[in-house]
Amino acid sequence: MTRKQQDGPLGLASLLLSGALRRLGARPSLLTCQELSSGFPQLDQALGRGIPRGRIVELFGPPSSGKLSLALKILASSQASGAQTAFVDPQGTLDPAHASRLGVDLQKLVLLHPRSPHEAFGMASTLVASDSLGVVVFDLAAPLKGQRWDPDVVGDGLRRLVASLDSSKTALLIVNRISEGARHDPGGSDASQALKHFASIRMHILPISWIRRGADIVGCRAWVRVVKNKVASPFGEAEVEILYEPDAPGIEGELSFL
Amino acid sequence: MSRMLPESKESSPSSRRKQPRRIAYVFIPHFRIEVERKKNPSLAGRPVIVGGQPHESLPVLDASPEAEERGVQPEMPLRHAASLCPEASFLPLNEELYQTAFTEVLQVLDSFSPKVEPGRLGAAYLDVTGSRPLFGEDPVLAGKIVQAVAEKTGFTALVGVAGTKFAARMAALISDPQQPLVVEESREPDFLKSLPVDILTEDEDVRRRLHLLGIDRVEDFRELPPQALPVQFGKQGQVAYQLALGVDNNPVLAHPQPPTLDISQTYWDGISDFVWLNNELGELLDELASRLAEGAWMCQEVALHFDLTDDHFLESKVRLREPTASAQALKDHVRQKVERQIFGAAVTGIKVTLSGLTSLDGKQLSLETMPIKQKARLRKTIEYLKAKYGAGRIKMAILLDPASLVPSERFALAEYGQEPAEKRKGEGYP
Repeated sequence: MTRKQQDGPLGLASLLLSGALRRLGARPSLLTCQELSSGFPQLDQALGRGIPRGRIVELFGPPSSGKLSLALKILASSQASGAQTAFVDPQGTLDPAHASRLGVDLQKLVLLHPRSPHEAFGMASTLVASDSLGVVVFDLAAPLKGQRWDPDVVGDGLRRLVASLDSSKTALLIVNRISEGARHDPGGSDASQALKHFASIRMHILPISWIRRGADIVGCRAWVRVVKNKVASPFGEAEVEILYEPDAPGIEGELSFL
Repeated sequence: MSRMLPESKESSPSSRRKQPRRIAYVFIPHFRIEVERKKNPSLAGRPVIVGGQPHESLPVLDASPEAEERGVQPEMPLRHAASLCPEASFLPLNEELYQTAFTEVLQVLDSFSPKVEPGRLGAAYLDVTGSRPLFGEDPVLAGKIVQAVAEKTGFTALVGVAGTKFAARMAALISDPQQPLVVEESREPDFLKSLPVDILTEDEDVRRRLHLLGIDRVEDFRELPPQALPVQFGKQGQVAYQLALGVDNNPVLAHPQPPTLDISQTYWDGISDFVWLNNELGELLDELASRLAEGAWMCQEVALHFDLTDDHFLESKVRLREPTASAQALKDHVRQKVERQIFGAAVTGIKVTLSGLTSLDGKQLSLETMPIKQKARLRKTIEYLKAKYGAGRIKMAILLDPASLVPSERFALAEYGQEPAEKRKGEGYP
């Protein structure tokens, strides 16, 4: 067989050599991306192996469903392994005291306060591209001071983020409002449609109940359904219990003291 | 030659305090451009734009006066700048180079005051209270600062001296290098009154509203009823009113000096043998390494000073790629450096100084520590973001009193990498 025959009409051998074409299974790292633990074993199982690095993960749900608390718990879990983290807070509404109660180490948290959607995506993109952080949480649920999340800006921003994440080991969590589309949910985020396409994992969070100790609310119980998963099998489900105490166990029968 | 505003008729010498507060503001315009021109003199007199290449979707960070004449402004997209001034030299941001140059300027300023507070890049406040016996009257002092900065760094500085930080800054901004501007004590209100009202705030919306109301000068602003200002302009209005009256009690905060460790040894007979010299250096480095371990430090720079028998001395510096606390690593790097050194005479004294110390804050290392390279990358990225979007956009939170119901008492937000002034020790601080 001649060299030309080996290569075929498209020159497959040269494409393989250049890295543009790869055999499935040739490099295991291409088939499985690295994951980090969410801090909730059941959720890790529902996601496949955990929160994938270098991908966009969307957390969406109705107000007070525990989206942000879950994102902060995942952030704290990443910090526990020594990583630095960042929180893009467009409205400046994050309560660091609450984050601290959820186990977040404020010394390892960079807070970003952008003035516009364009700036928010620019900052997040630069941080992600630096590959120096474990997790970046982007609060898209909060409205930006007097500005809308313009779908075009969000689309462009997400495209940049995907490009930056390609060579990064940072996990990007985007917290979004319930996204059922503008027709069914007029209060839904403007960014939902673009995010649906760019996210590798979409987690729908639904509140179940508050966890009380006496009259005090000490946590919340939520149902997480993985409605999209491009790195493992989709439609995994998990029940998580988020306690507003540092170092509190996440789930599974640890609530007998309540 | 310095300009000086005439002394107020109302203020008599007897009414003055013994040590009036005097603050100098030293400002090097277009600092990034000046640094680039110092590095590459062929850029002198040509339009230069710092921020990136025209095809990049980044903003202009600094533009030379030649480029500004063509309409280029900071914050403008580079593409737009290229269309206005296509012949300009577009340079990428080299934050490390600018920081190094700025550190050199600060070192010069340190010789004029123990309290030097770095402001923006290329600008610093000096508390020069009581420096008259050392450096002379304020105009003389200002002239000496301009001269020292020019001689030791090659930069042309603007200097303003006044009783408050705000007035000193304004004086420097409207001064010129040949004539530093000095505002006499308690003459700040008179000095500020004729300046444009825009200096009182950076909020474009407030500025626009003030101009709509026909308020163009600081003296016009002073005539507004003070009780209406918080209602109209919020907290900014109150601050602006105080500044307009010449009241600014912000102190000059001295920048922390980088910690160093050093050790020295004298040899009366002189060391002329290379092996002996290496052994001596090894012992000194062992001692320094043990001190590093005691303080939980790592160092990134080793400075060597050798006194020679012919009354000459040799100095050299070893910069490590990554900070280390290992005595062996230090010895290896120093040996490589010394092997290449030509002494020409016997060594009678050695001084070794470790600098670039990185503290571990006495914390136990976590099982999976953040790699040093990753930390450096994050630091560089944060510096870049600060330069691009402003330092106020990148913050860190400090817990104050987590149990408090008032948000401002629960936590404080500080510029990333700096601790807030209002930090309260031992009160829920992690």
